[in-house]
Amino acid sequence: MLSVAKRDPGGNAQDWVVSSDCGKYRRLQRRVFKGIPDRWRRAVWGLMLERMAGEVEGHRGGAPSLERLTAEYEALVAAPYVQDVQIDLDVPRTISGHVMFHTRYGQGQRSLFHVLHAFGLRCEDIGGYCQGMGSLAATLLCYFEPERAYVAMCRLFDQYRLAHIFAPGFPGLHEAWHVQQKLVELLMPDVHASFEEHCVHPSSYSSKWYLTLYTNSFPFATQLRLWDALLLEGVDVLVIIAVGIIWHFQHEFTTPNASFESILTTLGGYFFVESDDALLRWVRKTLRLKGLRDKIKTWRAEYRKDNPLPGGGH
Amino acid sequence: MPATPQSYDMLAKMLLIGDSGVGKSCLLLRFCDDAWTPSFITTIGIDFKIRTIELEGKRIKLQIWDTAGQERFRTITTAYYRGAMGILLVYDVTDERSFNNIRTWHANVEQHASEGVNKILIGNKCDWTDKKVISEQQGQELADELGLRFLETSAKSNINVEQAFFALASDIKSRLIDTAKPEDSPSGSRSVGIGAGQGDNAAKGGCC
Repeated sequence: MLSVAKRDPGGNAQDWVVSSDCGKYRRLQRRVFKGIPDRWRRAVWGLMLERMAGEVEGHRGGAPSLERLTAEYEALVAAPYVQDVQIDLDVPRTISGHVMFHTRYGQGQRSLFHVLHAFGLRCEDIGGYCQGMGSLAATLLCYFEPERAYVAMCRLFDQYRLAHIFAPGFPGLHEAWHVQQKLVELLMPDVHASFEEHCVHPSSYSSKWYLTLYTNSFPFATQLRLWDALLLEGVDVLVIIAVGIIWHFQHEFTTPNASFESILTTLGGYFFVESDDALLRWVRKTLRLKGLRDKIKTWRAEYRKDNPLPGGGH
Repeated sequence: MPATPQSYDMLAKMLLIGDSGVGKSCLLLRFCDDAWTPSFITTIGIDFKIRTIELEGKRIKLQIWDTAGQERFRTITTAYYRGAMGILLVYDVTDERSFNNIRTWHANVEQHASEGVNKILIGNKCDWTDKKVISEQQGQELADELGLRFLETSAKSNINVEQAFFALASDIKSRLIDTAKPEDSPSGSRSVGIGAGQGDNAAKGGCC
């Protein structure tokens, strides 16, 4: 399905493209949702990130090239940054269970520090380093070398619009919560009513879902499957996953015994998924519900109209 | 209001605030699960745990909210100040900056929390004697100046953690129950009030 797009001077494959003979998008989608084989993840994630950059390039006046971003990384790593103390504090507190990040000031932790340092400097316009970015960079570092992980962060923030989520005041987060509430109301009116009755608002349990892209809420293997879907389909997937979690527990939320605490204890927990395949199938099926993506688009627009940003950006 | 009988006499909502890395989540884990782990993860946004305690014959359910310390998260966390009945302001005795920032945190409480909210100042990591830079006396002086209760704690060595939460719970209890007129079900009506406050706040918490 993939063929080599570019090789480095040593002849190693650097980038990939989807072969033109493999046909429709639906086939790619089916395969990605089936789970990208782990040894192919780096290639496919890199491909999807660059593809999104290419697609957006058309009507956004051009995303910076991979080479330019890599060069930018080298320059930024050497520059001083006021948030270094905060980053240094958070690095050992980021997926420390993973063998790569186990050792204080080991290779993994140092790479994580460098990526966060450089990326924090790059996004000073949206407030710089923010907790939560660490989980993203750490996951990327499991597949990419530091400079490429940095590029991937840039793509996620620019093309997948995570910048909107992380901006001061978290406008994209509030927008996601709005969409999430609308979706719950549409798909599970009883649950929506129960949440209203018990005053359960998404801010009480789902900030970390959106700010870490589900790191630390699911087992690592499940998280990777969710990222496969996210990188292919974009941020709408984040909301769909949130709704999927609620969907799974919906009967618990609508029993007469349900309370503010019981609902939040369930949603604030760690989710052991019985079948990753079933979860991914649900996400895909929901994404493909007729008219759903358009509805999400409308809700996002509606939210932005009612809550304009002070600067008018994003 | 659920029709189920309540297993507690009073619901007390508490909030942990303070600089990043002072040990708020560790205090909460120690108090609720009696555990400690060196490999803790950063709190993103807001988290919560519950524990029911018994105090002078009353069962008090503590609903404790843990917050992210990084400045940027205040737009999310301050929405939770208003509904809190008790607030724990935490600093790290080995980190002078976190101690100096207590004044800022206190000012935030004054600005956003409900009037009369009970407060306690906590100097955490007191087991780390060779790294300690803020003396117990300094902590006490600041507490006196701001009119707060004060305790030095260690989540790691389990020093004073129970005492801190119990002291705050007891202050809340005497403020809300002991001084209140006897009613049919003070706890019931109150818990609804908290929930509602929360929903309002959170829903309004748009970007700034």
